[in-house]
Order: sequence, then C-alpha cells, then structure tokens
Amino acid sequence: MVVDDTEALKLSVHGMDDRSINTFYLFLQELCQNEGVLVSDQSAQVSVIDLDAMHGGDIVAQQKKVYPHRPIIALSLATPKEQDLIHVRKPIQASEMLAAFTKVRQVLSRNLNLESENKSDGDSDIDSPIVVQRNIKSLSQVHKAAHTTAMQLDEQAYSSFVGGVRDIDPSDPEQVELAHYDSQKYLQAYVQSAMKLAVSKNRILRLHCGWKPITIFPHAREVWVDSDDKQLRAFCVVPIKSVSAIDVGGTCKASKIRVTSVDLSQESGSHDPSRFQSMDALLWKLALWTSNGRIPAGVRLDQPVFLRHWPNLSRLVVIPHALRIASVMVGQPKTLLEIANALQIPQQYVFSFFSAAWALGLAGPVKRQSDGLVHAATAIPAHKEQGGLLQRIISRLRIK
Amino acid sequence: MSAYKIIFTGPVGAGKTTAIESISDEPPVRTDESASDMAKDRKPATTVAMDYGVLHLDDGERIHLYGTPGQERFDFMWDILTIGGIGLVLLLDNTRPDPFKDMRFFLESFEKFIGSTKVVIGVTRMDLSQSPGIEDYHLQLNKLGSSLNPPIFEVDARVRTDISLLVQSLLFSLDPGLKEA
Repeated sequence: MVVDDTEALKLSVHGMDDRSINTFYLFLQELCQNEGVLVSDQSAQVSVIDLDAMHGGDIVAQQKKVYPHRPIIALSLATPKEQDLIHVRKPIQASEMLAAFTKVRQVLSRNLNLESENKSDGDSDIDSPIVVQRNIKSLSQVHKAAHTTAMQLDEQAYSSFVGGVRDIDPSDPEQVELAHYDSQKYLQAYVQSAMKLAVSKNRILRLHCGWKPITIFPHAREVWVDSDDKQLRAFCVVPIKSVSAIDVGGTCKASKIRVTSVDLSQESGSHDPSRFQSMDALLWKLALWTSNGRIPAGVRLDQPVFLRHWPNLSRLVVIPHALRIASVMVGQPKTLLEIANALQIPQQYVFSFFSAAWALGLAGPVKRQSDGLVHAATAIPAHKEQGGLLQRIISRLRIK
Repeated sequence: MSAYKIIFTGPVGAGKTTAIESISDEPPVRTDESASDMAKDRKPATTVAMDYGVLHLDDGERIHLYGTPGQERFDFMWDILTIGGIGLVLLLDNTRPDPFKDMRFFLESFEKFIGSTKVVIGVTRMDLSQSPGIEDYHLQLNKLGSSLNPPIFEVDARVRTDISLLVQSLLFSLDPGLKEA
C-alpha cells in the first residue's frame, strides 16, 4: 500500500513563533507548491520541528513519546545527532524540503503496509474499515469554504430560510403537541449519530441515507455533501423512512440507511472545496430546518432549560434574536415560554434556537427540585440611560 | 464629547488593530510616543503604541474604540484606558504557544473592569491553527473555576461582520433587553 503522492502532506509545526509559522506557511504555499499543509498536531502525518529552538530536543522527545510512529522533519543549522530524524539544513531550500517530503512518504507507506498486515477488523457496524487520507488541494481553500462568516438572518430572511409557525397557546394540549417534533425520524438524528461514530472511531465515514451521501471528516471536524442549502433543507424536513423516489436534484432511491468507511484513494475525482462545511454548522442548520420553530420531543414547555455556553455564533446561521436569547439562556434557567415572554419575541425563535443548541449538545432541560424555583419572568426592560446608547451602537453596527 | 469607549485587548499580534479597523468609521490611528529621557544614556528607548478608532452614531455621538498596548510592560495604561469603558473585547491568537495562558492573564488583568461591565472573547487565526478549539476555551474557563461564561467566537479580525457580531454580543450581554435594529 502506498501513500498517495498527489495529496498534500499534513504537517504540524513546533518550536516556531507565530511569525515563523506564517513565513513557513507562505514557504509551503509559494515555493513548495502546497506539497505540505499545516494542520493541528492531532491531525498531522509528520511533525516539523525547529531543532534550534529553545528546548528543541525536548520537543523531539515529546513528539516521539506521543506519536512514536510519526516521522519528524528537523530543521537546524547543524546535523542532528539522532539518526531517525529527517534533517533539512537551514537556511531551508524548497528542493531540500521537497526531498524531505519524499522521504516522509516512504516512511508513511512503510508504516501503512505494516499496519495493514497487523490490522484486525472488529467493527461490525462499519463496512471495510480502513484509515484513509483526506484528499484536499490546500488547507487555505478548504478553510475558506468551511470557515465562512455567520449568515445573520432578519425575520424575513428567517422565514425564507427556515419557515415559520405561529405562537402556541400552552394551555391547549393539541397545540402543545404540534409544537414538538421527533428528531429521530429525520436526517438530523442520523447525521448526529454518524458524526458521533466518526469522532469516536477517528475515521472518515460516509452516511448513506437514500439521498446524497454525507462524508464526515472527524479530524478536521468537517463534512462534505454535494448539495446546496436549498436541496439539503428539502430533504431534511421529510421523515427519513418515507423517502422512496423523491427527486431533490440528485439520484435518490430507497435504500437501507448505513454508514460506510471511506477510502478516498479508491474514488475518482476530488472533493469540491466549496462543499466542505464544519460539522457544527451543518448540524445547526439541519436542526433549524427540522425544528421549523418547534422543540424536540421530550422537552416540556413548563420545564426550565439551560444553555451551557454561547454557541460559536460567528460560524453558524444567526437567527433573529439569537444574541438576546443566548444572553438570557446562559443565565438562570427559565422555561422557553418565559424567555419568549421576557424578550417579547415570537416563540418560534426561542424554540428554534433551543433546538439547534440542543443538537450541538449545548442546551437541554434541567430538572427542578420544586415547582417554586422558577418564577414567571417579567419582560426585561432595557436600562434607559445606557440602554439608549447601547441601542444606537447596535443600530450602527448592523448597518452593512 | 462622548466619553464612552469599547476596549480591545489581547496579546501582541492577536488582531486588535485589524479588528478596530474593520468596524471603525474612520481609519484607525496608531499613536506612538517615545520615552522623554532619551538623552539619558541610562534609560533605554521606549515606544508605546495604542490603536484608536471611532463609531459615529446617528445623533452625532461618537463611541471610541481603544486597542490597548499588547506588551505587558504597558499594563499600567490599561486601568486608565478602561475609564468610561462600556465593555471589553479580548482577542486571542490561536497560533500562540499558550493561548489559555494569554486568556488567564488578560482576564485577571481586567478583572475589576470585567466585574463592572462584560467581556467577550474573539479567537483569531483559527484557520492557521485549529487547536485549541472554541469548546476547549470554554472548558478551560470552567477548569479555572471562573464564574464568567462569556461569548467566545472564532473571528477573522479582517472581517467586519465577525467583529460586529462579537461587539453586538458584548452589548446584548450587557443588556438582553436591547432590540435588534
């Protein structure tokens, strides 16, 4: 088995300050034709260590301890004593770095061959489990796709993006029932499970659910799906077991829902970088669409809820009043209806926010010790003096 | 003239100047002052740099945006700068060797100011270094036993919408009763 030499090597860097890292990044991009890309230590295939840095030797020892099979490229003025390091002499030349990369690939291929000889498959819920490499053109391209700034929706845009429901009367049991949805019936739940599995197995997995497959890259916490938001939304609001031959712009047929392992080296073509997105961003959107202004089954309207911490809203779809809802929800537990009343906003925004945060594992109902703990929330008045000023700042910031 | 200000702080290179530039209505000013005792050979040269921007509100009022000097040796200025401050925007560079240490340092340094206002945290350069992740910052705050539970967002200091959202989250943290414009 050989490591695909058309794929960029994933490098983690050590012993460099931030300016050096930036310079090295540009060096890889401009002079090394993106043969190597910078990633986190956890995701790297090879460690690049500035041996001349203070404690350079300690860094090498530590890397060997944590990643005993990972090749190390050592950058230094003098030849290192250790024979097992791949040395690149300073000042670094592109040709020498590329030669080092070739040596790294040979080492990785040897390691893969050894691994496949020793490997035993104990997973019954995944087909053909093989650890694979990710096929990306360059880190900057992917992360441009993945790390887009949040889309901030006003009420009209929310309606187009998510849909909408009216406020419910909590004293009407029928309306209360309609305000709930069972996420287990929808794509959202399957994606959540597949993501959990990918992260726990630390393998790239593909979810097949009768529509376009969703590929999960747990190392980078990203997903790839060949679909735009319109198509995704159309599919995720349909109960999954009802999917038969719905045409949502791709080939689709009724099939058993399954998760498979992915061997990118066996696949033709590369992944369009613009279709990558972060796991959280996708799950958040799926939850917003699936919820459509409702709350997950099992969460009572009279039950106070918590928000562990603010979601990373700069990388998520920001629905109307999200910032206000988050600000209230991270405080004392309140029921969802109390939050809507206190902020004087339609319930659907609170319900949607809660459902999306719940999907990310950030929110949930609390168990209260007595019914006396929670008091009816009154509207939250803006502090008049500073409130006028803060309001004007908000207005200024929101002008595009 | 309004004395209200929003303070941007963080270690050197975290993106304070860039962030102020992203939302300022005027090109940011960088103020430099040299030590006055240059004539004395015993005193080394000292340069102080501070960033300044401004938001023009619709009624003519101005909100000052101050970036603190990032070098720790200028921390005596931080108390002066925070007078009249509405809140604190802490920017952390995710490519630095120990961003958690940076976070602890700045939260402790501005503890009194944060106690009477609020803080939000923007983590920059996550495109260059994904680790630690945003969840890790929240876990670190928990580990410290901090009662703070601020918004922590991944931001690109060059992107106006990122910095705008961060500052908005500061304002809504101060007062959720504010209306969305």
